[in-house]
Amino acid sequence: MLTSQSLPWWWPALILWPGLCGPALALELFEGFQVHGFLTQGYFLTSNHNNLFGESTDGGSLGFTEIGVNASWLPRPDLQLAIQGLSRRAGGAFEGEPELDFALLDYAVVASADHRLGVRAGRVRTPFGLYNDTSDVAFTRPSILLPQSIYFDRTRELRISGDGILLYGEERGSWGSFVLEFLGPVFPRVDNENTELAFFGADLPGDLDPRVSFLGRLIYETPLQGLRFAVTGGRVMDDYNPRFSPEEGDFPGTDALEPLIFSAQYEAEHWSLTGEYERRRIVQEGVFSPDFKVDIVGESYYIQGIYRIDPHWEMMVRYDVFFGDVDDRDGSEFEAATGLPSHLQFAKDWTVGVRYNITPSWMVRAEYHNVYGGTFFLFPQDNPDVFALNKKWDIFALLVSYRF
Amino acid sequence: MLCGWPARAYSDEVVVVVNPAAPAGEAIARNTLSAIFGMRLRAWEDGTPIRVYVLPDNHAVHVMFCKQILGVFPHQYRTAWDRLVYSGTGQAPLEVASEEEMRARVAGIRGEAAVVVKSEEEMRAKVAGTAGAIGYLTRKMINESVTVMPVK
Repeated sequence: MLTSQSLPWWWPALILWPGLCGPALALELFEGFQVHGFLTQGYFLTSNHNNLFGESTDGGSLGFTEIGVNASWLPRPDLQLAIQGLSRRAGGAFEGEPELDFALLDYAVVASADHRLGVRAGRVRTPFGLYNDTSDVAFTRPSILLPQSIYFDRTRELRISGDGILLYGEERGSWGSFVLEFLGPVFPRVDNENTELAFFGADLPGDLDPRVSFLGRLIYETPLQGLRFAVTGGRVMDDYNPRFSPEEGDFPGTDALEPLIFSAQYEAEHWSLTGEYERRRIVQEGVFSPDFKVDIVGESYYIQGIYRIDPHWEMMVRYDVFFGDVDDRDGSEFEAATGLPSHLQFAKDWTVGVRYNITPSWMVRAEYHNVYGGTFFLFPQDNPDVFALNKKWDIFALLVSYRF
Repeated sequence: MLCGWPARAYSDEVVVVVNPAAPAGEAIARNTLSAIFGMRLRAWEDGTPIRVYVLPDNHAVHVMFCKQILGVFPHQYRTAWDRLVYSGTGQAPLEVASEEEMRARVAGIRGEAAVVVKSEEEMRAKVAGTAGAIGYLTRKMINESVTVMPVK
């Protein structure tokens, strides 16, 4: 993990600054070596005392900044080295510490027009659904906030990238094309507060250590241009290593997360329609007591339409739903068992948004969410008192982004 | 109009052009073209690196090339290129500030893998002057300095 206490959170701005003043340029420092980056600032205003990315209810919050810089080098046509550093400030959960997003070597063993076979090794982006590959780059997202039912920020480190080996294969023909990526063995990024909070609802004294995990994604691009399907599945595991003894109430344990996602997308010239559906099994053992066991299945889905009026203007509408437990969709059993509010267990979100491309490298966006039930995707760090949360709330967000 | 979105209308046909010395064969398959401009295929069959030249996303000739020859919309290519660049899995055509800057930076070396050029004139000059180069032009821009590749 790349960390530095001595640098301010906005350190990449020092690198990005020259580009902000001139035209949008990626840098090619020598042949085959390129530097790219992005800089995003968001504004969030929320209602009903529910805070998102800082204290956002009273006058709003500017506590959302994403800065990334990457470098890639192609020493030969079949070999690429790439690295991306990221600084993400998003409320109490992400305070802008520099992190290593990916650092990988990509070797294409076979590369022709119809076939491709290769391997990536290092810290690689997780093949997960349609939007994970570049989910921190505002330009590539369909909205300011990705659909939180599937791309919830609360387990961002776990979802975004992992340390391991990824095999990829591509086969193209008149029947369309298949792209298969298999990430495994991989060590997920679980040793952090956000993953503990998401799994346990608290930052426990011990630590999470990754276990060997795997994840695969198959994308099928149909012969009908713009129509694609994808399926993602796998098993991501970790161990909880207690700091204290069982007598003190700190027990060893394990977590296993088994996502299964079906994705479909149709992109026409001026509009697109996207839907994803996820079944997510979570198995937890130990941690709270030697015989503690949870085995639940959660469900998420969204459907999203985008209309491109012209190269500048784009409009978006989406319906997005999350259930933590399909056998307890209203959270009532959760509330009875834990005494915590039932609305922590689900979220239903209608979103409308508009995007304006000022130039190919500058973009602004506005977005409104009517969360007509549920607080699942709020961060405990921004909302220390869960009993102060309200089930129904709204988000208004603005965003400006630059890339090179 | 703001900078970066030229809106000229072209009625001419768009054709694929290569450097006369490029080992591209007699004709080029649509799949091969799609792999080259999708930045997935980086070398010709004999191993010569492919140099890709494109016009800006909203240039009328680029739009025609994407829609007529490749059968995709330009924003789909942009999405694919962004995915390569920001996930560390590839490189996209690079925008360079000016002819002079590009000349200065490539002096003594072979040149970039893929470059966004500003005009058809620049496209023709680049394809003509760069080993292994591929690009596209409207037919009226064709002269003996580049080779037209039929698409199979």
